[in-house]
Amino acid sequence: MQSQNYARSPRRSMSQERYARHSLIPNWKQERLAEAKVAVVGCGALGNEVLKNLALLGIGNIWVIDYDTIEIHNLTRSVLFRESDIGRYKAKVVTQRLKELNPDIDVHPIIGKLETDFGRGLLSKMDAVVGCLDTVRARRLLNKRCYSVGVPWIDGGINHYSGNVALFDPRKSETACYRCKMDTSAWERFNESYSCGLLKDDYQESKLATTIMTASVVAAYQSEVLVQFLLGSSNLKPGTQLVLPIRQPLGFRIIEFNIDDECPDHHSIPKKWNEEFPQFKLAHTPIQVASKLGLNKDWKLELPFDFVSKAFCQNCGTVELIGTPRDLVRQNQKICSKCGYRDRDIPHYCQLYHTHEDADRPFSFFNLCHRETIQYIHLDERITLELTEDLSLTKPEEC
Amino acid sequence: MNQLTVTVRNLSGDFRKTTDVPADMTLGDFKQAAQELAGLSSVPCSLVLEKTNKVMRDSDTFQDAGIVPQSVFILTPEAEGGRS
Repeated sequence: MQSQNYARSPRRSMSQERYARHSLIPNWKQERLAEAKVAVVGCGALGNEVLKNLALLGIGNIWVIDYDTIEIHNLTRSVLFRESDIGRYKAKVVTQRLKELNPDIDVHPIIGKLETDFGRGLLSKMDAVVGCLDTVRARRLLNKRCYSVGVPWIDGGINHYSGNVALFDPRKSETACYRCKMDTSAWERFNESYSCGLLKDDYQESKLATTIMTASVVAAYQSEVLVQFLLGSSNLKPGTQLVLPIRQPLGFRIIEFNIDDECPDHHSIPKKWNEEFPQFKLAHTPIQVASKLGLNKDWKLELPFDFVSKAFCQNCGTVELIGTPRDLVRQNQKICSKCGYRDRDIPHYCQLYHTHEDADRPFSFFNLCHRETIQYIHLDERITLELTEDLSLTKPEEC
Repeated sequence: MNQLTVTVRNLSGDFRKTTDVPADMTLGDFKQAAQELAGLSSVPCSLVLEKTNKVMRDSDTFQDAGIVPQSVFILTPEAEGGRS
């Protein structure tokens, strides 16, 4: 049906000429790429190259997620940025440039973080996600979210002399995911920015040396894996990683990760794909929705992250509202702003019981975004729902 | 105590070391020692068994992993940059 529309519209018929060389490739299906939904997380060196490729390929629906702004040092590896863009949001700028590269495609910028700004209801609609990240923590988070909704993702990583591309697919649950492959040193890097569970005040992300050469080679392979995946099946198998030594012509190597039988991300893989969930407004409270769902008082709500509601000062008794995922709470928030006491109590939870005072706050208080999914646990049953800003204004491209 | 002779090299092959290791040594400890010898201690690496291309688990011992004498391991750098 969509391929007929593709052929009928004036814009699309012009596109048939645009993609004439692609049509010569055996088993190429441009319509499949045109209807594909792909999210690219991270708009740095890799993200620029991947997004450029996806736009030129005619991937029809692209979501771009990045919270950062452009700095001058980005310009050596970012084909979509100009000097005049410095200070602008990366996601906004790439959206504009991609539309210039290919007006056929729809690009949706999301300026924010994966955890709090790109709802899993929307994530679950993606055919695949491309990870263009630079920390173990960000990759682990992307893996967790993709596995919780059953969406495959393609990881890329670079330094100044080599790179790697890995495919992780929750639909092939017998294969390893990013969480499975994390070794001792990866867990050390995962935890290096935190102390006692709070973000270190003086933590600076280490700056990794990268070049446009490694970025463009790795992004090319990420794009190739994505296209193969969208058109059928990828030659790179899930749970394996392509190792690309770029500065030395050593040839490529594919390595295979072991599955971790205790992996929590594997345990979170949904049993059904593409399930539609009842929608409720972010302005509602957990108590209101529980009532609408007909739950009695023995319910609890599971949040997608550990959440800090308040900080308590044991010294002066001041209670301060925090309302932030625990990962975003800094060490200096332990200090009481009123009396200077340095060790305030900052409790956190990821399950909200029906008796908790926060159960009467709107969902938006919990930093949950448009199209985020959450679960009520009632007796032994899990009830999933999707949150929306306003049911009458639901736009799939916005978060 | 059982010992076995194994070889570890880097991807390019310009580092290569053959050594005797106790069968109950963990592959994580072996990797760390090999990284230091290869001058790769600051680079995240996977330890890959050359014959199978399988990444070794840090917590496994040579014995647990069924490593046979004369096996060759490759220290494979893990590139983690790309966003900034």
